[in-house]
Amino acid sequence: VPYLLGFLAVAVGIYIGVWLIVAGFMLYLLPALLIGAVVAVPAGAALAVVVAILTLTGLSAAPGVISPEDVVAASPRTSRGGVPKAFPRDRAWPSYFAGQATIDLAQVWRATSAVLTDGWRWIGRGVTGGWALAIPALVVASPLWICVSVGAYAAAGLILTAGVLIMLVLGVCWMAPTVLFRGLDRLIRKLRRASGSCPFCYHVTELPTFTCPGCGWRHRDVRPGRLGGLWRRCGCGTLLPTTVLRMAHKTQPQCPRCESLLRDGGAVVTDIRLPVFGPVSAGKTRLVYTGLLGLRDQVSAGGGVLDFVDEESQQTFEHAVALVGAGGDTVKTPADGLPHAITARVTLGRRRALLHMFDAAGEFYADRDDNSDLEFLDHAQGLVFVIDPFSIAWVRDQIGRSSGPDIVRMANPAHGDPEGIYHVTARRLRDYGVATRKRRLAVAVVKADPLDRLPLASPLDAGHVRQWLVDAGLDNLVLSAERDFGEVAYFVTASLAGTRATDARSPARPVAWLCAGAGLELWPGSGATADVPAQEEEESV
Amino acid sequence: MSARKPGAVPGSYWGYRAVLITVASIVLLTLAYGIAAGASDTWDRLQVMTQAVQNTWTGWGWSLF
Repeated sequence: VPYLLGFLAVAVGIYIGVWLIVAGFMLYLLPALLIGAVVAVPAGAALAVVVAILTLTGLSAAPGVISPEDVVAASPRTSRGGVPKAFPRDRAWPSYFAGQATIDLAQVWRATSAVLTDGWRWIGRGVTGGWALAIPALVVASPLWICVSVGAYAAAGLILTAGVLIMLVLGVCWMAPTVLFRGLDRLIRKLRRASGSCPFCYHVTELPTFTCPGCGWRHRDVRPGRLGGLWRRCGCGTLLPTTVLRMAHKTQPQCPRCESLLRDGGAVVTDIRLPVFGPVSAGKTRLVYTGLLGLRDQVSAGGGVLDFVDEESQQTFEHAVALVGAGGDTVKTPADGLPHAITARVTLGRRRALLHMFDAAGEFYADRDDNSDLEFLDHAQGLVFVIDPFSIAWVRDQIGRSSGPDIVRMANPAHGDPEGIYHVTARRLRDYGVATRKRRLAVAVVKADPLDRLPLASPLDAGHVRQWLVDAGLDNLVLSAERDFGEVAYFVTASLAGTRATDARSPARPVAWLCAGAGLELWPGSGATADVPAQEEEESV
Repeated sequence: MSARKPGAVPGSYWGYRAVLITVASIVLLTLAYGIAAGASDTWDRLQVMTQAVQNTWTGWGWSLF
C-alpha cells in the first residue's frame, strides 16, 4: 500500500508538473511567441535592408571588385572561332553591368545569409549547451529566428528582384547608346573607307592601338563595349573616350603590329594605298614625285589642299620639288631596305583622305622571292605599273643609229623586261590571295618626252596607249593585265615639272584615276581615262 | 581627360550602387510605412488571437486539473 500511494503521489506530481508547463505554454509563451513572430518578421526584413545597405556601401562584407588587372588576367585565350588571341583585353575598368552588378547583388544575398547563419549557429550552440540553455534556445530563440529568417530572406529577395529589374532597365539604357556609338563609329569609318595603314610595316587595320596619355598603357580595342560605353576608365584612372573616331582626337593611333605611330588621321579618314611597281630605273620615283606635284597644284586650283602630316614625307616632297624644278634626275631608290610610305593628306572641303604612295626599288620586283616582303601590294586599292618604253625591244630596234643612242643614254632605260616584272608581281598577288579582280591597275608608259624625239612606226599618243603596247609586242602583258585586274587603264606620262594634272600626259593622272577608284575624286573627271578602254576597243574591232 | 587615383573604384560604380541602396531604402520605408499603417489593426488582431488561445486553455485546461 505505501508503495502504491507513493507511486500515485509521484504520478500526480508529474501530472501537475506537465499541466503547469502546458498551462504556462498556452497562457503565456504561445501568445508571447505570436506577438514575437509578428515583430520578428519585419525585424528580419529590416535586418536584410540594413545588411544590404552596409554591403553596398562597403561598410561591412564589401563585395569584391573586378579590377582592370582581373580583366587582363581573365582574358580568353582564344576567340569564338577558337583562334588564339594575340593580345589580352585592355587594362581598363569594366562597365558596372559587365559583371560588377551581379557580384554586388549576389553579395547582398550572401551577406544576409551569413548573418542568419551566424544566428542559427549561436542558437545551435545554446541547444548543445545543456538543459538550461537548450530549452530557451529551442522553445523561444528558434521559432523567433525562423520568423527573422523568413522576413530577412523575403526582404532580400525583394531587394534583389527590384535591383535586378532596375539594373536591367539601366543596363538597356547603357547598352542602347553603347551599341549605337559602336555602330556609328564603324559605319562612319566604313563610309569614309577609313583604315589605319602602317607606313613602316604595311599592316592595315580597322582597329588601331591607342596609348593612354596617363600611364602609357596600349589600348588595343577602344570600341564601345564591356570596358566602357561612351567612356572608359583606364587602369591608371584616366578617363578615355571610346570609339576610334573620338579617341583619334585625343592621341595618335598606333599600328597594333609594330607599334609605330600611324599618320595623323589614320583609321579616321579615307585611306588610299597605291604602290608603284616596275623594273629598275623605269622611272617610278620620278612618277611619284611629279605625280604628287601635279596633284598638289590641281587640288589647290580646285580649292583643296594637299599637304603632308609627317616630317619624313614632307622632306621627301620638298626634296622632290627642288629636284624636279631644277630639272635634275632622281636618285636611284636604295634596294637595301623596304620603303616607308610617302603620305599626303588631301583636303577637299570637308572630305579628307590620306594618300600613301609606296615606291620600292625595282630590284624587289625582279624575283618572286624578293617581293615576298612587299606586303603593301596586298593592301593596295590600286597599283601603278610603270613601263619604260626604252626597255621595249620594238622601240630600241627602231632607234636610229645617229641621234638614237644619245637619247637612249639620256633616257636611262630600265633594266628588266616589263612583262616579266608584271608576271612576278601578279603571281605574288595571287599567291597571297589578293582579289585582283576587284582592283584597278594603271599602266603608265613613262618617259614620253624623250620618246617624242624618236621617229617611231606607231606614235605614242594618249588615248591609244593600249594599242601602242600591243603594236610594241606587249600584247601578252596587256591581255594578262586585263584578265587579272578588274579595271585597267593606260596612260602615257612625261614626268616633267609644270605639267598640269589635267594634261593628257600628266603623271598625276594615273594616281588620280586610282584615287577615284578608291572613292576619292580629286577633281571633276579625274576618274576618267584618256585611253580607249580595253572592252570598248575589243567591241569596236 | 580626368584622372583618378589608380585602383580607385570608378565613380559610376558608386552611382549604380546608390541606385541599389535607394531600392533597399524604398523597401525599408515601405515596410515601415506598412507596419505603421497596420500596427493598430495588427495589435487588435494579436490581442484577439492571444485571447482566443488563452480562452481555449481556460475552457478545457482547468477541467484537466
